[in-house]
Amino acid sequence: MTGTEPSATDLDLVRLAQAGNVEAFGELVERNRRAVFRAALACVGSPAEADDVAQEAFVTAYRKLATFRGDAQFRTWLLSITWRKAIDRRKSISRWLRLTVNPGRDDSGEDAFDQMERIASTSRSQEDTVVDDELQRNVTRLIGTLPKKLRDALLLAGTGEHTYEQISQMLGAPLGTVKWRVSEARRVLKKKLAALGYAYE
Amino acid sequence: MNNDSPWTGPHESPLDRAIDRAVRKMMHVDPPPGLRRRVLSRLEPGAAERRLFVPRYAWGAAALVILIVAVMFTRDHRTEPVAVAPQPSVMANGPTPLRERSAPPAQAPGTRTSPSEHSPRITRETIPMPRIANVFGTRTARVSAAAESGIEAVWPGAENPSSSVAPLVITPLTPAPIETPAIVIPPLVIAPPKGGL
Repeated sequence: MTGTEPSATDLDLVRLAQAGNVEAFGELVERNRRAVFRAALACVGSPAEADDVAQEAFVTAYRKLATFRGDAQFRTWLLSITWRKAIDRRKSISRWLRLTVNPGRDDSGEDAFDQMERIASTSRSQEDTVVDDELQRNVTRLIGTLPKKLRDALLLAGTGEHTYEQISQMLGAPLGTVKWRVSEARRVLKKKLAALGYAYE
Repeated sequence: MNNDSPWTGPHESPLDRAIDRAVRKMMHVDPPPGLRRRVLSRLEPGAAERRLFVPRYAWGAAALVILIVAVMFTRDHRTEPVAVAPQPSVMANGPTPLRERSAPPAQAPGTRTSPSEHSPRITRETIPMPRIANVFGTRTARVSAAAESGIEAVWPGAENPSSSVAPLVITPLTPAPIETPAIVIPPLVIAPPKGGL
């Protein structure tokens, strides 16, 4: 790496990048790539789409870097950009799926996330058949049936990369609301699993 | 998992553990390798385009300046028409052939002209003017055309101005109906095959 030290903080790297040091921004990409990618994945549901969204988010962040004043953490600011990009992508994908794959909502209550899951899961279907048991498949399927607000909060909390404060910033919801959504998502899932015959306790 | 998230808390229920495992399996996916390189490659072309934009713009501006200068240069060096001295239009004795009226002399651009300036009296020189006769002769009701030989062409009926021209009568068109011959279709006769069925 040229011009950046491993011990430099994110803010140091941001200042260097604002001064035109592209390598410093590259280091910021390296440090935040997983958090950005997983946030996008939680929204769009497909690794390929999440990779595109992550790229767009980093490019947008670089172009808007002059507007970052350091009031918040760089990662929080970056994740907010990522989430907006991911929401835009999810809308366009949903629109595309409505027009092509499923004109009109079907009776099963599936939405675009379910269909994206099915499309994306083809790449890991072999692994699923070996590793996952029936319960895992049912849980995964039922996560797709959750309302978007509950599902987004649940998946973002499950990435292991984001704090509740960061999720709150991304979703634009109060911290308590985010926590409630995660808890409610788990409760709804367990209730649906119990309806399928799995033991609730 | 981070410490701020209750996600890592022990969930006693096997359903809770199943949910944890499912979410972890869905979300614990690493980005494809080379994300940094792909992002930086998308940043570099933008910078290159910005660098190329200035020379491209400069070339266009230079071409425009050259065009304006060329137009101004050609306008300044446009050749002015040579002034032609006025000539007497008709020379005179008797009915002589008509000549074309000469065009007024060309003037330099920007000079104001008045009708009196076209008069030969403006000039200080003494030019002997010929006596101009009545080239049209006495006025008659006849319409004549001038000719080189002096022979007058007479319009028929022009001597008698009281004669009137017969009014033009337009007869209305009577379109004849289109008659189409009847199409006669002979009945179709199918001859039996020679060998029979």
